[in-house]
Amino acid sequence: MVRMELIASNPPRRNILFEPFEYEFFIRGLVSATIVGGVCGLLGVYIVLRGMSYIGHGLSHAIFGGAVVSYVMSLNFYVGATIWGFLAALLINLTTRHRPTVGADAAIGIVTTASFAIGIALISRARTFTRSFDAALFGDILGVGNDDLIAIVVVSVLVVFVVFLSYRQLLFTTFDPDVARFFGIATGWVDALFSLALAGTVVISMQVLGVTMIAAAIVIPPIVARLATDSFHRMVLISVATGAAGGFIGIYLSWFADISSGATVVLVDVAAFVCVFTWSSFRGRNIRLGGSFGSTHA
Amino acid sequence: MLHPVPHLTDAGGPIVKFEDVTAGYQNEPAIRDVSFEISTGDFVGILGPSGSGKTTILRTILRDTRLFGGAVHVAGGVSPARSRVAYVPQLETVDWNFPVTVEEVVLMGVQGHRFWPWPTRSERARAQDLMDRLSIGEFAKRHIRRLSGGQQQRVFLARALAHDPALLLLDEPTNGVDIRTRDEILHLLDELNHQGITIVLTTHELNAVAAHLPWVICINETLIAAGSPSDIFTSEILMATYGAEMPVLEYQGLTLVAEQPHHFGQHADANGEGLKDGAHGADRIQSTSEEHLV
Repeated sequence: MVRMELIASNPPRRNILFEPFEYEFFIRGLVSATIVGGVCGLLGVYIVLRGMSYIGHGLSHAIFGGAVVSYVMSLNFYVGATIWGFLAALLINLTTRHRPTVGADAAIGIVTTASFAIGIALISRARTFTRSFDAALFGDILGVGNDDLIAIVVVSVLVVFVVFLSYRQLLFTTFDPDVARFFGIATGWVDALFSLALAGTVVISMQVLGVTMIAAAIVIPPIVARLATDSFHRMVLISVATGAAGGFIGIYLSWFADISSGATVVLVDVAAFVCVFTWSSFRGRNIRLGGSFGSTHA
Repeated sequence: MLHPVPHLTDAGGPIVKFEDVTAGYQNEPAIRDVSFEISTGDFVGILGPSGSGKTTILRTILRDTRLFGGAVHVAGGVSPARSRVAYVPQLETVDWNFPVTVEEVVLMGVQGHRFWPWPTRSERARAQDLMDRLSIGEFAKRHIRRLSGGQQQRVFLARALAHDPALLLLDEPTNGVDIRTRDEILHLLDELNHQGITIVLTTHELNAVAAHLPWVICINETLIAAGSPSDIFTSEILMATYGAEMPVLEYQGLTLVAEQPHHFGQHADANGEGLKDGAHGADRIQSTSEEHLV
């Protein structure tokens, strides 16, 4: 709808494909979505391989509670929501590691809905929450301001830095958490650092994708990558590329289709998944017939 | 058959010493009042039935259990990283769908202080050297699922060796593998032991594994016996360890254990002795190998 208004007030350009790049807010949105898509793809690899695919969905709800709390306590949204999300992620990790009988899915369900409920309860008391519900739920790419973009860039750089620094430790802890300890890896610290990175990523993703779409941006790129490769480091690269491309193409297409940016990004990711799934099924069938691939686990 | 180094009691002092150790998980001890010593250069098998506390002993060496009483001494310090203890888990616990190649698994064990996520040239060279040493170098880029059981065990051995261990702990390394692979693994471990690495493994396989080792610790919550198989493979000790009658016999210099044959669907008589009908397999074993019985 915003696009229609802009077109009405601006005469058409010569090349319609480059038209959106005339607008600063679009470029901000495009850069934000590309960065957020890539970072979600990066952390998503670890989340999917830890069997915690729904943590993105849960944390985005939990952080909604944190956003309300930071508003009520007059804290900066990014700081308050990240701390809240970090504590929620830490609680989920601790519960999963130390009480395996609870299970990751149940821990995510309990902690995040409790956090969401706290947010709702506080809103119903305060009744003056100024952040838009629609923007929080479905994302508002056009509302990404310079401050938001700076926050997105800073958090993304920090997340990439954390993953770079602890690549081996994160991989070992994800692959074999019990044994990693015996090789001198401080798995508790690795989990805590990862939880902090995840909370920060979900917070910066809220503005771009919205609470309801974050889970897809975290889960789909790594699944696409997993279907494409058996190597961990290649999975990381493909997942980041898929996430970033999904963000870029999604926002670009949303301009022309004039639909929600978050939904378009997710639909592009889904399209990538369908393509790779079909390709891998075809390849799998051919290769099974050829007998040069497939499980030979004795 | 292996050619084991004898138990080296005074070779280099104890690398592991348990003094009246009671340890377990949460509020429940899994082993009680266990005392033993493992000397530097030993090749030791911890033997016992399922749930007897074999894995608990390994995890207690690794400081991963709750210590209710006693003292554990591991040469080199408290931290497993500092004391150069490496652990090879049971293959059953590995996630075979995890996207990871042979080289990536081995590199997990290589401790470096790199900034970039990718390994340095020297780390890669070390990993390749270990893979070549264990004859899996050609599979470096292959997914771990696409290997045979013996090759998979070598991958995790290579990861452990990348840690440069003085003490190597293996949890049921021959579980679920075929006879050839089992022999392959035992010979490989024997080679590593001859290169100076102290090896402690758990097993419930009496003849296939434990009988070939120079030193065996029998456990069933408490320590039943420790010694060479020829000394401790007696019907009494095996009865105390497994709670079952096990005739012991000698074959080509090895002390082996026979199982009492089961006669499913046939019932013991009123006194609980013998069988009402059918072949008395136990009697047959006794009669054919009577001259070899210990």
